[in-house]
Amino acid sequence: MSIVPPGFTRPASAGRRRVLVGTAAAGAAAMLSPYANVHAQTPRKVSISLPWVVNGSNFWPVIGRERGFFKSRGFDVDIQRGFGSIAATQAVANGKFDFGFVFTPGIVINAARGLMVQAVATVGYDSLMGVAIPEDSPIKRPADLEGRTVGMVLTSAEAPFFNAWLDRVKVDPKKIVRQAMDSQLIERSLINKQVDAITCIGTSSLPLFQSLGYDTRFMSWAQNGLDFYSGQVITRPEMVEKDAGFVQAMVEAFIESLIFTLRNPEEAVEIITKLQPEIAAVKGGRENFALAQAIAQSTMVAEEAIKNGMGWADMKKLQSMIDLTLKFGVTDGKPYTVEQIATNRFAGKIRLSAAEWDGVRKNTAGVRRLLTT
Amino acid sequence: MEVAANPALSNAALARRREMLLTLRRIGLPVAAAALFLLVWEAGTRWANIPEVLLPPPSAVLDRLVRNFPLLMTHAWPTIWQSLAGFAIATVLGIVLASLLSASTLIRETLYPNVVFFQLIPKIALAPLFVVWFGLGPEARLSFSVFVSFFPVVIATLAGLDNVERDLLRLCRALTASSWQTFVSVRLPHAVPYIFSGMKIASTFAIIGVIVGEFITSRVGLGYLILFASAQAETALILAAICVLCVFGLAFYGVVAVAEKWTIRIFGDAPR
Repeated sequence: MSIVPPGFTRPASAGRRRVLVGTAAAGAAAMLSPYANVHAQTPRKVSISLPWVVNGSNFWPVIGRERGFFKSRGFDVDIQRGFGSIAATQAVANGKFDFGFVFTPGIVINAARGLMVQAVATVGYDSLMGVAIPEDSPIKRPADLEGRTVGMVLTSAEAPFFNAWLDRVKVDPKKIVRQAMDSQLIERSLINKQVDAITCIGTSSLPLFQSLGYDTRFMSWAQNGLDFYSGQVITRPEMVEKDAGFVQAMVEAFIESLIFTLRNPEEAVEIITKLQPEIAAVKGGRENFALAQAIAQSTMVAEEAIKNGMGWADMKKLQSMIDLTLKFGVTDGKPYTVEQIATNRFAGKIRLSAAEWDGVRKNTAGVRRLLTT
Repeated sequence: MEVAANPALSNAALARRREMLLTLRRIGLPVAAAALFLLVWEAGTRWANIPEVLLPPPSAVLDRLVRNFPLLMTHAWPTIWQSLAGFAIATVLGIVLASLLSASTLIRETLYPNVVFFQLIPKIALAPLFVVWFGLGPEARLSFSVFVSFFPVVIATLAGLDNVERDLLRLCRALTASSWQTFVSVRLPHAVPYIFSGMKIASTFAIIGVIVGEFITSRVGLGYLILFASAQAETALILAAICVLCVFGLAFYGVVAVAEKWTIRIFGDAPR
């Protein structure tokens, strides 16, 4: 793996670089960061919020912590669960956490309300928002949803964009009965046939259905042009302005954590199940976790990352996500520019080789059938 | 002087004035405290330039309340009627069960430990199961509301029925009153203040039960609106919905308190 691209230079001082050269035995990971030696003795405490409880799509920062990718850069990270991407984004903006790993809708919705954070790395390029229906359902196309009951978790990232999708597939929103559901019940409500379909994030619901042996079909909203990015690493704008070296080092630690799980998906699941035995204790829990990881990783294989390096975001695509949010999600929101919520300043420094991308494609090939209608 | 001419009248006037001042104080102090709190909140959010999405000033909440009043009322109605129904069912069930527990030693020995056991269950954790058992309709929210608000009524009523003075019960026996007569004439009137204590707690629990139920599953209701507003990062609307909920809760509690005074006036204030 080519962790550092040719010609990449870091904003370390010449003196510090000499020290790094002199301590080469400290390991390649430690040398990557201008922060490493500065904080080698007194690790800087950094708090990170996940979007939700640890699951297969968001656990990779925990693996990074366990593997020492943050520690080697001088950071003592405290990773906490979140309560949805919107709340996690607010917690980061409010200074309760230094960084967050959240879903893009959480960022763009809060920004429409005037609460800005900076996405400093993009790690998932399809949020997998969609509608899940039972395999044997008579619902074959979006129009078949008319007159049916659709369950949704209102605080889930996809819920505000249901109308946007209905608009794109020319379905009258008034002809659909919406049933708000708790996140603990949403999948069960479909299995119990209490609702005809559910809106969901593919990485959350589809693995659960599979682990319970319940076959579903999935209408991906991205196929209708509603393609939102998924996971992004965020921090506060003032952190980007005032402590760019710190942000750079953290982004690299995040990316290195992610790459470890891309290269070693099974080992990553092994580590997390040892750390949190309750994952394997529930029926199908481990399989559910591994599948969610595979689905999430399948969304990481994108032109943006392949061409420009890990963490890179297409600003035009992000702008279209903002436009969609203001048109359908937060109709009374304030307009803002993409630069106010995202930057590629820290991204693209680390790349995977073509062979490594092929490896990820191969590892995740099996999950594509779950993402089809 | 008039005071000197009619001291009795002036004393009555003074007493009335004192009573009026006391009433003003009773109302004025909490209102002034609330006004001061809102003022500090408004000034604080403006001075610290806190984004509205994190903490909107009271003026923004009021603005949402006024602008979205019809929407808030549309969502308030299902919450209100389900809370009232849940409360009514819980009160009747609670009083009946407490009466049975008080009337029969066998029933008490059989059921009371189970009542206490159920009291210890973390009820919120069971909320999703009510949807599994009762479906997605109002039945799930109503039954959860009853489940949550039922126990305070049972425990309070039982305390009231049990704590009758022994002399009164001995007198009933001496007068050869039947168990039913003793219950209706002595135990129940004596328990009225206790029952209303339980009902006051139940009135708030019934609302909480419905809101939790709406958080779990709903199509309308203030709980639904709060979740919807959360998804839109519309903090002012969340607080506006909570305001409506608080006003209803306060009014509901007030009605129960007035009913207590009215009932005690009818039955007489039994000694505790």
